[in-house]
Amino acid sequence: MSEHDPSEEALPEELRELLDGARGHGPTASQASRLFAALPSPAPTPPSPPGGSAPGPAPSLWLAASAALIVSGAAWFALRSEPREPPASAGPMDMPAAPNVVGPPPPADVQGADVQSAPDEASARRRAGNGADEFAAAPPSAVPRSAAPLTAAPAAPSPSASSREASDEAAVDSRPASRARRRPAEGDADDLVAEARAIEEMRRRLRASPRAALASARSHRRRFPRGALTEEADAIHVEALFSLGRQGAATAALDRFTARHPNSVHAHRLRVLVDNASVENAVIEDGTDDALQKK
Amino acid sequence: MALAKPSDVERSDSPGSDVAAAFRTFFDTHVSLVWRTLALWGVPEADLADVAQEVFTVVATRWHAYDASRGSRKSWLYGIARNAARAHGRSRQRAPELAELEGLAVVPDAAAALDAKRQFARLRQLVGELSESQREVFILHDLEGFEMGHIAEVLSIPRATGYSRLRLARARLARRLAQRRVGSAEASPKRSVRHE
Repeated sequence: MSEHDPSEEALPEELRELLDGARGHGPTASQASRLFAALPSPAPTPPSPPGGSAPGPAPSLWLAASAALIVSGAAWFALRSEPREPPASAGPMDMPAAPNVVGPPPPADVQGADVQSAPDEASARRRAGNGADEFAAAPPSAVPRSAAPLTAAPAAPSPSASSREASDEAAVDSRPASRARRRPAEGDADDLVAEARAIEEMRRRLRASPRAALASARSHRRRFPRGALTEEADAIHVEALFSLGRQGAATAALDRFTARHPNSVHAHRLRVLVDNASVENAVIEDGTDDALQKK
Repeated sequence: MALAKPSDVERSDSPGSDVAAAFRTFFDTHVSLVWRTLALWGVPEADLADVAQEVFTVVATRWHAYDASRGSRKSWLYGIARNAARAHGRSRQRAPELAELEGLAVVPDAAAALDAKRQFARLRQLVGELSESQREVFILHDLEGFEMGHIAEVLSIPRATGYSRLRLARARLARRLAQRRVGSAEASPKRSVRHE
C-alpha cells in the first residue's frame, strides 16, 4: 500500500478516547432481540415468481386484507391514526410482511404480539366478504358499524370521507368507467369493490410486470375520478417506476405523492425504498458534494 | 411432509435456512453499527428501534438483490441506514439531542453501557457541527473503521478528497474539544481549581 492515512497521528488523544468509548454504544440486548423478532425472514430469491415458497405469502393476503380495510373504512382509520405503528409493517406491500401483520403463522415467541391484530384482520376479511351487500343495503350514514367513534378522529381527506361523499351522489353499474349510467340508491359499493379489485390487480402485476402496473396506475385516476383509493394507486405508481429502475421518475413521483398525501402510511416506506436504490448504485449524494468541505 | 424427497427438502428448506442463519449473523454483527449510524444522522433516541427495524426489513427484503461486486455488505448496510436516517429526518423534526440519558434501563452491566452511551452522546453532539460530507468520512473512517479506499469508492470521491475531509473534520473536532475545556473552565470558575 503506497497510501497510508496521512493524518493518522493527527487524531487527538481526547478524540480517540471519545471514539473508543462511543464505539461500545448500540442497542441493549433486549432491544436487539425485540428488533430481530419483528423482522421478516430474508428473501433468498428475487420475489418475482409467484409460486416461490419463502418470500411470497404477503401479497395476496395483504391484498385481501387491504381491500377489506379499505372497504370498511373504519379499520383504515384505525390504521392511520395508530401513531407508533412502524412504517415497515404499516405498508408491507412490496416486502414480506412483518410476522405480526399479515403472514404465515408466527413463531411461538411472536405469537403474543400477534394476538391483537389477528381478530381485527379476520373480522376485516369477513367484512370484505359481505361488504358489498352491506354497502348496498345500508344508507350511507350507517356504513361501517364500527366507524362511528373512529371517524371522529381528525384526519386529512380520507378514503372513508370521500366514499361517503361518493355514496351521497349515486351508484354505478358494474362498469366503473361508465359514469353516465349511474343510478341512485345502490351505493358506491360496486364502485369501491371495482376500484379495490383494480388496485389488487395492479399490485399483483407490480411483481411480474411493473410496466403493466405502471400503465394501470397512470390510468387509475381517469377510471376512478372519485376513487377512494387513489392514494394506493399513486403509491403503486412510485413503486412501479422504482421497479423499472427509473430512479429520477420515481423520485419525482414520490415527491408528488407526498405532496398529495402528506399523511400517507406509505410515504416513509417509499422514501426508504427509493432512496435506497441510489445506495445500491454506490453513490451517496452528499459524498459527491465537494462544495461543502472547501473550507 | 415425511415423504418429501430429499431434492424437495433441499430446494425448499436448506437455502432458506442458510439464508436465515447468514441473516441472523449479519444482524448480530452489525445492529450496533446501524444503531450508531442512525443516531449520528439525527434519528432521535425514541425512534431508533423503529427506524432500525425498517433498515433491517429492507435488508431482509433485498437480501437476494445485494450485489457483492459493488462492495461489502457492511457498506451496503451503512448506506441503507444512512438513507433511512435521511428519510426519517425529512419526515420529522429533529428531536432534542440530549436529555435522553434518563431513559436508560438499569441492567446488570449498565455501568459500561451508560458510559458508552455518554461518550456516544458527546460524540454525536460534536459531529453535528461538521458539514455532512466531513461527518460522513469521519464516522466511516474513525468510528466505524472503514478503509479510506473503500470509503472513497462508496462516496465516489478521490481518496485524497477523503483524507482531506478527514483531516478537516478531526481538526475541527479537536478545536471544539479544546474550546469546551476552556469554556467550561471559564464558565464555572467556582468549581475549577484556581491557580493564581
